[in-house]
Amino acid sequence: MAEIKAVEVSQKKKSRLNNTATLFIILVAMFGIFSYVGRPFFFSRLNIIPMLNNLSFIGIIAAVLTMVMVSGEIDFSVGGNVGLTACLVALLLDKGLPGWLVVIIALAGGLVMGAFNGMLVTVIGVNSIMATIGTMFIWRGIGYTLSNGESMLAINPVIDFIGRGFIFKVIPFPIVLLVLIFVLTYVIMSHSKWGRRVYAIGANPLASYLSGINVKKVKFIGFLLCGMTAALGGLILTSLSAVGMPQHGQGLELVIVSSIILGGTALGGGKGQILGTLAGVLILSILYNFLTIMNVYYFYIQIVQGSVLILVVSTYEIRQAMARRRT
Amino acid sequence: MASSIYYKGGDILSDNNGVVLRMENITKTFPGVVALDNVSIDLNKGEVLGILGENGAGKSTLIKILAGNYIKDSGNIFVDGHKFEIKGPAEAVASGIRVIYQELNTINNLTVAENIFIGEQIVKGPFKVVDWKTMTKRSFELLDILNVKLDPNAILGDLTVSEKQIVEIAKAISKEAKILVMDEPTAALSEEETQSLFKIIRTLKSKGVSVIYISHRLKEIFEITDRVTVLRDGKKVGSIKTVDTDENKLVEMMVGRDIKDMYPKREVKIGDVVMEVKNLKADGFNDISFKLRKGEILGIFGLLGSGRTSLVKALFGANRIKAGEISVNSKKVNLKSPGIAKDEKIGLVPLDRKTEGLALMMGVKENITLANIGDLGKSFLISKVQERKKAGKWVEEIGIRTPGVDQEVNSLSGGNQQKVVLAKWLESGSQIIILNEPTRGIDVGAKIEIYKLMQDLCERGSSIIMISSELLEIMSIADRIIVMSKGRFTDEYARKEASEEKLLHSACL
Amino acid sequence: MEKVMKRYSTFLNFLKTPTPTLIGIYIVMLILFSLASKNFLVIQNIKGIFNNFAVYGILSAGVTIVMIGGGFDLSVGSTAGLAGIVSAVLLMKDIAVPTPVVVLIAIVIGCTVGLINGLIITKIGINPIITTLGTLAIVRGVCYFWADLNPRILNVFIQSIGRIYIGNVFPITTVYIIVAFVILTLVLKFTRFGRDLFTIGGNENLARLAGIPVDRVKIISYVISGFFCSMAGLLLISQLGSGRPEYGNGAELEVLTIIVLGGVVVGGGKGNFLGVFIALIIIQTISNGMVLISVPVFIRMVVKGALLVLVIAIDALRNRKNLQLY
Repeated sequence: MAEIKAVEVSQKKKSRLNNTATLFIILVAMFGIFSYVGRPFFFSRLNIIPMLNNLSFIGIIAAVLTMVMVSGEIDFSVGGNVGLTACLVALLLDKGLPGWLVVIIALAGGLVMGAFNGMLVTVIGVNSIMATIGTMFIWRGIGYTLSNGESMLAINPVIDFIGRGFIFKVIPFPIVLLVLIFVLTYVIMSHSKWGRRVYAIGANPLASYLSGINVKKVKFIGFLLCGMTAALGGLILTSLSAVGMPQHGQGLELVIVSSIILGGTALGGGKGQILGTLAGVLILSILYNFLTIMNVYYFYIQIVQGSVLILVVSTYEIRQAMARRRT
Repeated sequence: MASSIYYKGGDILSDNNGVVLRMENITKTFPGVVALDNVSIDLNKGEVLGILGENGAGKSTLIKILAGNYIKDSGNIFVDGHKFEIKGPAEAVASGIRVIYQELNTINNLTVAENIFIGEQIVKGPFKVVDWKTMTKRSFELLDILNVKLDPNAILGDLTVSEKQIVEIAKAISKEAKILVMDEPTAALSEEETQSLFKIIRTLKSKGVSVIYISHRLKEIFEITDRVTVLRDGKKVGSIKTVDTDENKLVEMMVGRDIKDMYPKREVKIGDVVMEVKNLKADGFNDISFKLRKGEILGIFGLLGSGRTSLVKALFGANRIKAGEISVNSKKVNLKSPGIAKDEKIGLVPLDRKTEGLALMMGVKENITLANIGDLGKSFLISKVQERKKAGKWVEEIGIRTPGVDQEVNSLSGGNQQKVVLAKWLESGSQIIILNEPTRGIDVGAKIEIYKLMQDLCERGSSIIMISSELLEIMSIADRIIVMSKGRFTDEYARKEASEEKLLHSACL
Repeated sequence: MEKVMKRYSTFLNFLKTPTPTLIGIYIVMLILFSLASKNFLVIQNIKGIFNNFAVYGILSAGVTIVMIGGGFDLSVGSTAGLAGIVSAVLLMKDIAVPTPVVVLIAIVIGCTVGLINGLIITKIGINPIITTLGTLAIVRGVCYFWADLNPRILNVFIQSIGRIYIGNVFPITTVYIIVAFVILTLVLKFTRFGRDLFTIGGNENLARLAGIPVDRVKIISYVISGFFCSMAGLLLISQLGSGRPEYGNGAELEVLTIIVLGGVVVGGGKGNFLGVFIALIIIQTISNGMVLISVPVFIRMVVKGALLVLVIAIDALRNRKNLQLY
């Protein structure tokens, strides 16, 4: 009679922990090397603070996009969303609206964009990669239309604070937001009922549906949150640069998706860790920052970004194939 | 085990000339299960060899290895006396091995003619131009041999399930085949169509083609095969000439124990009506009415494409109901989604547990609590203590063999996976449990446990709807059997009246 | 059991595809635009059509092949840009590589990118959208190696390939597109490669079981796409008269819209070039129409994105088997 082969119970868990741990070791090593090679500028307050600020808006979006990706979907429109939000904010400020209202409108706009994506995917059934590549162009197009293709100054006390403010005079506000959102998403994904549903849907949407889980609702809310967070990212970027322009967030999707996959999230869903995403974001942001301060031409960085995406996904696929062969 | 006494002496070769295929000591393991354990078979020239076995005996694995679809762990394959390493489907096809799979393998966007010639289109001229005319003509001839009138230019998506199956058969005989493997080819065919298929098999046989015929319909085995090899739990029980045996003997070989032990049926007191379905209509079926009583096991039998799975889905809220009504405990319910069905205490153990029942990469505890995530603790957070307790309780109670509740279900055997699916609905407190082919792909031991479990549930007051295409199983376990054909109910039998002939006849009405 | 003999023909099967609907849409559009704008004469429209849209037409040819096989190619715009700028550089006065060699190198560049895409997608098994999104970025980055050279096209042959009009009215690029589409239609219909491509797009697993060399067929489809990128690259530098690293930017959006509108199913297995051709004219007509009624350029961008979303939404609605349940 076929009996179960005794398989080491927690082996799976351990190896996953190791993955994230490995990433953090790589991160530390990279940081050390870059500090040495890029001395003295790389490891100076002049570079570290802007780098962290930049990283914060990427990380915030990546954390929430991880939830969407674990559920088996993807959102490529986050970059376009950032661009549109930036223009919207600048335009509304220009019209003289108070800062707090602009923030609310911007976040609401993000929700609308997320809802649109979510509707395309869950109600109409469009493949999310295709749908969000389409909406990516729409959001950016609207951004161009709003701004007429120009950059607009976006200065207002409230907006300024979002990207450039400090808490207790030392901690940059974007970093506070970053930590807050990572803690929140970590609790949701690892410990909440909602997170469990997200993982289950990613692991097998049909089985989840046939277990009474409202798959469409969970996915839709994922897109909703992702849209809103991307808008928050747009607010931070606008604040950091003090301008709103439609080019904001161009190519962002490449960096974010690469970071998430590097962090161990499977493209097909079901697997992924918020901490892994954090490590992925840190590694890639530091890498790109290093390349930038070493005066590498922007378009060559683009080559690196594309290669990293393919490399990261390849590594994942090859590891999967090897695991399959073992069994 | 009683049966192994009989035929231990290895293969009895039939008196035909020459062995075309010899598979020697084939072993194949999957995570958690040995699918084939040192199995050897011989196939003679011009012979029809029946391979018989219950669900999960290893029949499909064996032919998938022959077809190059799986790679064996060990053992040898000889074709015409030469050792033959099958690395992929292309080599198997090239050496004259043709397989008709159980699952339909047709492409809906293409025409009948193209489906017949998939991967081996007829070409002409120096530029190897696809010769549509000849392909159409040849298809027409092939379909004519099969005695069906189908237009070779029809798009496959427009055909019925049985017509698609015929196209599969035409595909398999389109090219000179040395060895033709048929895995349950009659699953969707009517009696008449089955007879034309047999006629073709006889013709092919007279031309020296060897046929491996897989079925669990004993009647067909006796009608068409020369010799039978019986598999059980991934092991070969023995081979025997068809004329030298009878149904009882074969069943014993297949089951490996007394039929009463295989299908332990207890009489459970049947109570009031718990579910009533009136004139239900949805995609796949029409005008279905029945009543399900407390403590009852209601069997539903039908051929492939009869609408049985569509019905099951509708009863679980996963197939939109167009007309008719369903009442549970005399209260009308509107089953718009599985979530609502779940709240009405209905549970579904679906046809394919791997794609429909389980989140394979998750653990036993996550899968057992999958339908009841909301009940894992009072706040929005999951109480991991409660989760372990709940999962542990069911692992213990229904005997899920697993190293622990954290174990990934992917590494469990089929039987234990099926128990995990069942545990999910027990945890959910389901009173009406629908099981679609509950014993597909699981070993005999686990099967018996599932049968016992089903009856335990009935004794505790649950009711069960069981869909099965295994005649022995449904005739032994179900209290009452309803037969479906073309989306309608055709007949209903009490357990005692049912017979293989009657059920198959009703399924073709 | 009674069996009704059904009559089918290639023509009847064609009527079931979305192509006839597309033809209808186009006719209605022509009438509407002609009523709305005096400038919009049918002949004028057809004449002008392909010159601007030649590049998209040529790119669609290859991507259609890839998509019928169930693949995807977003890197075409970049690849065309690369083939274009490298050719332009090689044609510069001080380098002066002979024209046939330049054309050959352009072809090699396109086919190599296609080959790399194909290899990554089949051998490593990465989702084609992700893969080509990556190569899109990489190849575009490579284009900028020559960003500061700004080569002008003075070569007569290259200048002429994209600009000749037959009898002064009919653009030669239209001929290219028609020839390419006709040849590819024949390839799809009458070669084993073509038929295997449909099989793979319809059901890749089954294709493997039937012994079809799935990986090889797919790789070839990406190489074909790469080849047409090379052609499009040469057309770009011919029509624009110089080599710039940003040429072909965003072409994937237009091409995708055209192909999906043309009835090629996302995921593969269905599609024909007549449909793509009509979709090409329709999208071009909309673009021209927007110019004629002076829609601001940025709004046109939004409309194009919206059009893509609309088209893929319709594709999704048409091709889902049952109600979207989960």
